[in-house]
Amino acid sequence: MQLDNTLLKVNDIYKSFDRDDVIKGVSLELNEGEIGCLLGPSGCGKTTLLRIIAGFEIVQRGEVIIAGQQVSSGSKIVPPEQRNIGMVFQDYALFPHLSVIENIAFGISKSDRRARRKTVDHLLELVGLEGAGKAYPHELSGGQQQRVALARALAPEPKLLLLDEPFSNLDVTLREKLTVEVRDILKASGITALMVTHNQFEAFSVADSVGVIFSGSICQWDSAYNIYHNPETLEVARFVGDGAIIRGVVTGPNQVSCGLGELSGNLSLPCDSGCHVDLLVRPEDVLHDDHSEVGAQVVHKSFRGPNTLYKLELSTSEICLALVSSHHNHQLGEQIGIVPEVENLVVFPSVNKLL
Amino acid sequence: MIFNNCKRDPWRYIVWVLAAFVIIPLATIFSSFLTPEKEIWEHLATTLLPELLTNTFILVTGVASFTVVLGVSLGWFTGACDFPGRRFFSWSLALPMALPAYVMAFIFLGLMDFSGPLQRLIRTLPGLENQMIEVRTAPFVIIVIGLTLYPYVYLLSRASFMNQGRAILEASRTLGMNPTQAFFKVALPISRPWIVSGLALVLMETLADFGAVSIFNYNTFTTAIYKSWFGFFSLKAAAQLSSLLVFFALALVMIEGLYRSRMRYFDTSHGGPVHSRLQLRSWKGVAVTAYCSMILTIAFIVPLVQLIVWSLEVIQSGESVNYFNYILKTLILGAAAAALICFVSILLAYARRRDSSKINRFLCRVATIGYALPGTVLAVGIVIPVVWGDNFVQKTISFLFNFESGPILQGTVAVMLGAYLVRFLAVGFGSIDSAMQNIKPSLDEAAAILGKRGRETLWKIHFPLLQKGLLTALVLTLVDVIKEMPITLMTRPFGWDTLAVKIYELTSEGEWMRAALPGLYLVIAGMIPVFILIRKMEK
Repeated sequence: MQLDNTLLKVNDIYKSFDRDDVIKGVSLELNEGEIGCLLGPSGCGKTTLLRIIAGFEIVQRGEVIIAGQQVSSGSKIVPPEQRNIGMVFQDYALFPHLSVIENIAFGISKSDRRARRKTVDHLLELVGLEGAGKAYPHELSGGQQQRVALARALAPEPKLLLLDEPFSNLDVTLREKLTVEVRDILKASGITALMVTHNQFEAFSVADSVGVIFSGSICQWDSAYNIYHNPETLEVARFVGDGAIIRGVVTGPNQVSCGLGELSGNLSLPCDSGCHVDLLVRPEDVLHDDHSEVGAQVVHKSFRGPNTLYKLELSTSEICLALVSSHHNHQLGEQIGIVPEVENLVVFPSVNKLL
Repeated sequence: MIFNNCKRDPWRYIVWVLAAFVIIPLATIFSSFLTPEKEIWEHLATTLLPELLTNTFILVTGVASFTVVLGVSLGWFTGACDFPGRRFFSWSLALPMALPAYVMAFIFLGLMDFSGPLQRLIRTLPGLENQMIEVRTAPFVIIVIGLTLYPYVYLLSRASFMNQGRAILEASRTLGMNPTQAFFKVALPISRPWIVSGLALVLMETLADFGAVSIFNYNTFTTAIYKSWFGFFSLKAAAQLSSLLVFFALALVMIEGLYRSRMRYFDTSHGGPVHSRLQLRSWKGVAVTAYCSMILTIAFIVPLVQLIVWSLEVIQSGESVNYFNYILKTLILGAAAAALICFVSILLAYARRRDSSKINRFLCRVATIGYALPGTVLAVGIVIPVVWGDNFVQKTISFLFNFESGPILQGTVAVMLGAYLVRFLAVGFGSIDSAMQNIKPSLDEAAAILGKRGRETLWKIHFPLLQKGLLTALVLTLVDVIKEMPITLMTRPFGWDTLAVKIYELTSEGEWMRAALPGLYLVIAGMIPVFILIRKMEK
């Protein structure tokens, strides 16, 4: 059953460039006011998908529906300017010959000057650039340009906002600050938005739901929490967050035996006893305890201020990661005690069944 | 800035000396503006000036609008759209640059004048037997000059449209513009700095044009300067007229510089060169192909074919057409000037590399400002100080040694070479300086640490690395000198007639057909730099 408030619906679309399949049967839905994010490595087709939704690329099969209107299908394409969408470009694409105010007002079709001015003022306030209206793009910092781009895209009050790697041109500290700001702005304006990024932290801090996309298809469409804690495939587990994959054998209901010992918790897949699995162990699942019987050797460590990320070699010569308070300073080669504390056992059917 | 620690770098004097060398003719012209001779001005004001000013105004506005419409439309179609034959037209539409305006002018008159084939054809039509179309008028001068100069606007606007990247156009699409609106509201305004710089170059060439307007008997400042010097033997009147023209030229230099400096703010190319071209389908594509073909035919194919046909006719008629002596003189002058210009360019580029302070950059700009000075003005500006210097030396010699020496520099090739140097230094300096900037500054520092001095570094490091840029500079300046008409005409010593001078003589007697063969030589030479440019463009 289709919900009434579905704003964007992408239905099983295919796209290829010169026999090279870029998008292979992607479907997704966004509800009104929801912020979605496509997360994937470079070259996975996420930007192409965004450009298809914007109307810059045609599809070979499938359809795109925005606000109940079919805008792309194999046979027809509504031009971008008639789709009622806004877009924030990777390089912002601000018009260099126009001031901030003129850039923002560019897409507003209202003929009433005062109404336009009011909208622009409101947007300048929303993005926190009240004083910079008369400046030209080259006079602004990267973060300010980004905010102008956002305001310009929001100005015509589009139904759907598309953001193509909007933070990739910013330095790390600014990026963290702006992701939070952008989410607040989007939520304040109540707009439906779809963002594309290769950076999971951006995805997590901006989006309500995240789609992980690999080589042209969406592997998992879920909340950020589930993408991190309950990845559905090995690929997603590897791509998102730090962690180690270690081999294990299911020994009972909710029981797995592996290099970290006997672990009990909720199995993510129903498995029979004796089944060989690959187990995802996040660094925060492995605690450090000097009195623990389970030991591992430090092979690498990276100091991160509040804590240290240790790379440990288990007795099975597998590698796992542990996030430990940085007060505990251990040397390379040292044997340390660890306690696995895994609530949910995220397992995947093992490819390697020889062990 | 390299070596900003040496306060008294001897290299800085090179920049000063060269800037001074350019300043002398400019100062000469300006001083004649500041010391107006009342009688000459009164005479000029009542007889010549009104006509000159109107003619120049009509010519400049006409050529400006014509080249902008032609250049920007072609630049947009080949740079941002896709239509049948786009690849071919992208480079071939630059070819008309190879035709000097005066060659285009005499071909046009040969084809279109009363006695030309076109009007004869018209007169055979019933009812039009006595019809005569006057073609030596402003609109036709504008068309002829515009057809040879539009490539400046075309190439620059095309580069700008291509560099805009797709994001900027797509952004305007997402904000509700259709492709046509996006062109006028976004693409065109962003390209303005490029279009205006192209236009400034076009107008400098238009103001400087001497050959084409004299073939059309269309009086402008350049022809008036020539006539007052060689017709009325009044170098002073020539200088007064030059001083007015030089103001227009320098205004163009400032406009050009202003817009060039704006380019970097308007650069939106960081979106990558990927450009989704606007597909022109069905009748639109055909119409654009037809338009491009028409321009290419009129501006290049017809003139070239006509030149070849005439040349063959002249050769077959068995008339003596031995231009060997002219070609030899042209090449000697061209080669000597090119070598001199490139040598000076290297010194200048290196001196600026060592110390790129504000004052040095300014002086380099002064030293290369000659490209904006019309050849007629430059000839006047150089000959006057030479005459003055010669007189001074002669007087000194006769005073000291009681011996009457003849003119020393006057009427020698040295004066011509000096004038060429001033006029074309920018051409050589441009390609050498950009090659020089591609050499990493750390090389200089490494050489300095290893104990090499400036001259050694220049010779052992830069010179070998510059060879490609140097070759380009040599070819470009050689061809420019070969095509040059007014300076050569006004400063050549007896016996130093070049092909361009020969064309001037033949066309002033209306001998279009006999001018074709030397014209063809010039066009062939002119194609070389155009192809260099095209190759650069394709990269």
